[in-house]
Amino acid sequence: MPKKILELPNESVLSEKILNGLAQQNQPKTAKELRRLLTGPFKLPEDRLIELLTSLVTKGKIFEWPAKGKGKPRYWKEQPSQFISKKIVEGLTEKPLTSLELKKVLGKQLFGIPKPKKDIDHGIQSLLLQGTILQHPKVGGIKAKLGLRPPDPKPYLQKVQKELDQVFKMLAPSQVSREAINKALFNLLGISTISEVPLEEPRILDLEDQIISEMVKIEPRASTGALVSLQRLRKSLGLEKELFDRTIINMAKKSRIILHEHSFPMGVSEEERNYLVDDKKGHWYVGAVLKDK
Amino acid sequence: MKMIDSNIFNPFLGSVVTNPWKPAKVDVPEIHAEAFERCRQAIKYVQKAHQSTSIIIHGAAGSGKTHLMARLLLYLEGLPSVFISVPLKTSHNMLWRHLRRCLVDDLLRPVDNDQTQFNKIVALRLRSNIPHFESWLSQVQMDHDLYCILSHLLNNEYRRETRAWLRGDSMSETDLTKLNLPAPAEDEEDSEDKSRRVILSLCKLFGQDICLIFCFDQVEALQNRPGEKTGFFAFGKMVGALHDGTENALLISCLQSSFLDPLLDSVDKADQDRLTSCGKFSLDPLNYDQAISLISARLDAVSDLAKPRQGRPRLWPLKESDIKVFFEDRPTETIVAREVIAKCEQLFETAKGKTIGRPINTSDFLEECWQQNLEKAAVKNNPEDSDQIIQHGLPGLLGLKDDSWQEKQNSTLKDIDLIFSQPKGDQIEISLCNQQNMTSLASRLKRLLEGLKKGKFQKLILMRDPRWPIKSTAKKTNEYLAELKKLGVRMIHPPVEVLAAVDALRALLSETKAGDLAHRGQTIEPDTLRKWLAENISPALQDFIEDLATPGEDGFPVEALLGLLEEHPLLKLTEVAAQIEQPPQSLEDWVRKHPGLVGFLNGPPALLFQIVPDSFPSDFSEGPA
Repeated sequence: MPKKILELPNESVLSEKILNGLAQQNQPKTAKELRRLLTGPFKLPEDRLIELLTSLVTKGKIFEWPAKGKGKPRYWKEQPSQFISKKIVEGLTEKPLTSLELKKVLGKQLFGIPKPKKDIDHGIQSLLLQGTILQHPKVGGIKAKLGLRPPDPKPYLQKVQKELDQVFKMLAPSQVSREAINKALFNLLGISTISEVPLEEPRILDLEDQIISEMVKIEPRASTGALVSLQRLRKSLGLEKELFDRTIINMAKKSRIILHEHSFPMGVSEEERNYLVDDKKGHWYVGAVLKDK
Repeated sequence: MKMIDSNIFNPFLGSVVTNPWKPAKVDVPEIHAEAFERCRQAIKYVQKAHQSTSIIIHGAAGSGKTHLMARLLLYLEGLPSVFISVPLKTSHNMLWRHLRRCLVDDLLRPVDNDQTQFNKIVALRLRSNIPHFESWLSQVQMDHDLYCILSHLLNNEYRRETRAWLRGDSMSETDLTKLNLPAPAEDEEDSEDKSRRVILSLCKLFGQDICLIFCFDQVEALQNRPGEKTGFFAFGKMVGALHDGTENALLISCLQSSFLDPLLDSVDKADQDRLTSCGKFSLDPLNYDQAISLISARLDAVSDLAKPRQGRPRLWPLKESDIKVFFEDRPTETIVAREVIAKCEQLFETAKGKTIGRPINTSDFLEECWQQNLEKAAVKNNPEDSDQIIQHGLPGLLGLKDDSWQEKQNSTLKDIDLIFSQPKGDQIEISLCNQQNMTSLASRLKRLLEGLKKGKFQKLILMRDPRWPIKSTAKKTNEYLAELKKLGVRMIHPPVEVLAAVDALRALLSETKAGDLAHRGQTIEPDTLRKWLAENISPALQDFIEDLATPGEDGFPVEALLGLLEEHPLLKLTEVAAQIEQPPQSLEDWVRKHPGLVGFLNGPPALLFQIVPDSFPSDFSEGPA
């Protein structure tokens, strides 16, 4: 019986196989390591495999990782800089950290990147610029930190609190109550006192809060002014169209959010238009931005 | 009631900034201050980290995206930077070529005392311890051809030719010899790849400390039909390559908020990350206070109003109550700058005592826009732009008349620039043959001939600008062309009038898709424009479409006729007939059927002449229009 000749798969099939293989790996691999995972006609000579990997890197399908120590370059589905950024965000999910604490947390998670501290610094700079992470300035004995959410203003107001206490102490003998001082302070800051804010129907307020927290969930940068797609928000909340539209318009009227109008609502299909928010006055909205960023 | 002199200039005229190089006279810095600050921070980041980054700026039509870019351009004065405006009025098949042209046009644009941006970089480089041009150029690894061209440019020689080469224009043998460059190889490199390499080499040459700000405006214009992803996908790839292939670029992409999700959904995850590596930033509608600041600033800019406004309310001669009502009509605070300005334009006219007559209807407005665009396109039309005009404009033109002709993606057919197909299976393949260089043209025709013989094409059409006739001395080219024609391939020469109309059409469609075509502050929808264009299409364009769709060729020797008139611009019809071996009557019939290609005088004796366009493009030293 003649020996069956195994036909070599073409380049696109090989590339597909490599891409699938790399997608399943939880860390970057050298060409040698990757070759060990391939079988049959896909087990290419190492130099041919490197050629294919290089071509996939050029096309932006995979990314080259620097070698570990004196080893060989590695390849993976994620770009080193993007991976570091992802890890920084993950590291800050639980609580704000100083840059040093963050570097300690991330230390061993970066798969032997040669200069992790420098790369983490780059990543921090880039995420700060994007507004994905925020600076928590140093205050009193608390060191400067980084966080995903704006810092709690309370510690920064401690000096003000002390001064207010002094004012109270000073004016108490003159029969000025703390309430009167608070009221004067509110006036000074140009805000109405809490008791003057009209109370809303609690259900609507709950819904509005739910919408705001969903906005931040869908788009983590929403808290720093990124637009949230109303189509995504609607899908994610699963509310009845009428209720969702009405609540969104009300929130815009109350200046809780800013709406972005669709320029050509009649140019999209009816199905797509249904995902937009309609104010019943001929305006269709495509996205919302949180007002108090 | 008349409140002011009717001769006073209305400061609210001209609400749309469509080109950052032509900024509005009035700017209110507090409007979109955060977005501006974000761009400034991004520039600092690029300069400090020596790493390119990318930001998306989005907002509703008329929110001031291009205005913001104009503000950024002014801020850059005196900083070690280069600003490149890239309005994406182009086909996704030629994004790199388009970027190359924009980069070169802006580099060689006089900006400061006739100094170009390129000259400013040279001055900076030579100041920073680089003794002479050669040592600067040799710091970067680049093609021999690019090295040669830059040497010529730095020595201020062959300016027209160096500029043409840098832009990627097709070059004649004579011009290439003048520049000491070899004729192109038979199997030329793909022009998109070549443009990408030239751009990346130039970015590298400028050095890490010079920030290149690429402002991609009207990104939405890359989408031909709602839901189409190809244009956005190609754009994502280009931004990704620039992001990773350079160390000194800030890539700013401006688009309407309604196109943000479609853009991000159309690109690879990796390119999505690169596009937004510096985030995405929204230009929100104006609040009431910002609108008032904008109106005041425009009024303050009119010197004739300074005296009459003294001691009067801040918005005089306008009434603040009118503005309040305007805002109250839209309780959701979604008024953009363009709407405020358009409203104030009307209020100001009323204050001048001008009764606002019946407003012109949309159809008349579009007619006016079309005529203006057509005139502009006719003035700047030149053969170097024909590839871009046809490649970008033809899908829009065919989409107007007959929806069944759909552009099809081409990933396999070399030398084919456009493919259109119909649901029933008919297909036309168009190859743009606008090479000045006969070696390049002959190579392309040879490859097409080989492809045709292998049965790769269904109905191949060649297109060439009539202003570049193929001379009889180009033997190989004529041989291949004759053989292609024998096998049923047609060569179409779109008349200059048609090219100008297609150029006007693509400009108007792109402007509309980008939301920049507004009538009385209201954005015109692309569908409205398409409908109007379909109803008002000119007979010349109509003939051109029919010519494309009709099968077969009459076998008339067009190239010989155009070539002859290139050498002798005015000839007797009988002489021409004898030279091109055609009966005089058939020649006359053909000329009458194709009025845009060859001029005809009845006589006697009947004369034929070469058509020369009314206007010529301005000399390059004046910078791009």
